[in-house]
Amino acid sequence: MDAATQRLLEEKERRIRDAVALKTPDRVPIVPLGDAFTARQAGVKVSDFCTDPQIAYRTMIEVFSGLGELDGIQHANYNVHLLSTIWLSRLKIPGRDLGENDAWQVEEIELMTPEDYDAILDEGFGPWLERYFAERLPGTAEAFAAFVATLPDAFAAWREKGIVVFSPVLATVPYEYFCGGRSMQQFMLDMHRRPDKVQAAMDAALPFLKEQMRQVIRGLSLMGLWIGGWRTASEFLSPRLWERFVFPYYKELVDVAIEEGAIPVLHFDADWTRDLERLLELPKGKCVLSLDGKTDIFKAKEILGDHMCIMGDVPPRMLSLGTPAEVTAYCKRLINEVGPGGFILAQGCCIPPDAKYENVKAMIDSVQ
Amino acid sequence: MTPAPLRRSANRAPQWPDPMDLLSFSGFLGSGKTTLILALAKELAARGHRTAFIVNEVGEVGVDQRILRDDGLEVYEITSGCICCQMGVDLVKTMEALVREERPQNIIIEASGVATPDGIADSLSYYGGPPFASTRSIGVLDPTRLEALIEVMTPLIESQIAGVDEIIVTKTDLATGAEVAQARSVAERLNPKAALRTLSATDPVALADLARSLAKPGRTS
Repeated sequence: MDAATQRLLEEKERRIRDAVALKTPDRVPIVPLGDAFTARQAGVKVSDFCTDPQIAYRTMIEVFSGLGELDGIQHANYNVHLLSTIWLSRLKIPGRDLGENDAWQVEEIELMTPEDYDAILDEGFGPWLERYFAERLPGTAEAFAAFVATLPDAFAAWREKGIVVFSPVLATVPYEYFCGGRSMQQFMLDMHRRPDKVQAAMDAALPFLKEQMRQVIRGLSLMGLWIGGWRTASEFLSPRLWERFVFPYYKELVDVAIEEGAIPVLHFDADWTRDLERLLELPKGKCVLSLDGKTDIFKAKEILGDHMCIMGDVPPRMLSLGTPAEVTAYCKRLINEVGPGGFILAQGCCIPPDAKYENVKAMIDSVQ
Repeated sequence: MTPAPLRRSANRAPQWPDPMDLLSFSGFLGSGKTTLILALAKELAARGHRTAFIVNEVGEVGVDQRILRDDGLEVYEITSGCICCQMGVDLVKTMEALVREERPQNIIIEASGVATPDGIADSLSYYGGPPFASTRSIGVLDPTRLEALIEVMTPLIESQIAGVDEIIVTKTDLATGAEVAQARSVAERLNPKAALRTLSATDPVALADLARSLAKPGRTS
């Protein structure tokens, strides 16, 4: 890497770290995320993109490099099997189960049984998980290993372009694993019918997940990582159950990430507005709250603005169905009202596959 | 449901041969929405209404599509890679395509089991096709599991029921009298303004009555 690129990377990393530390950088950093969008823009088959990590990261770099001056990228690479590793679910994969340019699907069926809670307690979560993948999701572990093997090259390639790799790995709480494996419908009933068993299995899983996260942060020298929340959102769950099955587990994962010097990016999809105040219990100036457009980001600023960097939240449907002028106006509002300090501009969740190129460019250019 | 602003359609002349009615159904996974909608849609098709059905519970109706098409019902699946980001976009694009290609008289949306009427209305604010003669939202409650679900998922169940125009308590053939009474009581407490009915999707008389009430022309919510 030449000296100019190195200096550029340091400048961008400082900009992002300043935002995380609740300072006001020279300008608001822009750190987007997009996967199938890049395949579509580059004319790469989605079936190739989502199953071949070499094609995926090269496609992502090619498209994002042409979109403007990014400070960082959230994920450096993509592989569809990642979804099975966090939701313990089967997938419908383009080119195999779907048309080669269709969107991949998580198949929400009951793959994990109530007896698996006992198996987790008997065997330990790690051995149980290994057996679960081998028996019920064959090929997942191998695909995941192949994906991980490409990460160092992907990181280097992004850095060569002067783009910081911000949060390229994802972790989550036991709830998300079990909810995906059992299916949401069955898991909700489990929390009613056998809550103590569910909690015992969660408590058995957590040490494994914390240690796995610790080793990944160390092994890949991560600047940050996603700690994701999808069906743990406040909009779904009663407060009493959220307090019992959700928040304590996030706190423990966040603590481990911070201990290891990584920035936890709370990628919280759906509406978390009810419980924003609870996030004040997480360490100040160390985390990022990444919202997808459903949580009230302006309320988040009001409650957490002095405590936690906020990221987001250009709505995916605005990127697909809106106009560049609409996108620019919304981004300016975010920069002025949620920023300029302690704020990172990004799309909500992920840039959708059919986002308009000019809308994504308008989002990226709006920080200049 | 408050009709979506339909802001892009506001600039278009409403040149459309038949008035279109939009029905959207919300309710948690397994509440009986699909069974109810399929029975209703067949009933509407039998009455000569061109009906299109948009479903986004992936895989739920795929095997039945050919049979449904034989019955004159077009089924569109929304396939979202993620539970949240893409659904609204796909819904709008699917609606615009089917309106253009099929010109149905009724469009029935089966929302995802985790979607809410407000979320659907929000997504439809981007709909750019011809305007609807009426829009109507229906919340579906399963009395056999309501006690458990209301304990676990109070916010979701409440937001799926609050604000809808009509609440249907399903599975009366499977539920006890006490369960149905409790479901009615919950429905009345959460949304006292909504019309309330109880039925079983296996009861042809009740379905015919529902189809009649939903197929009336000129309704507005």
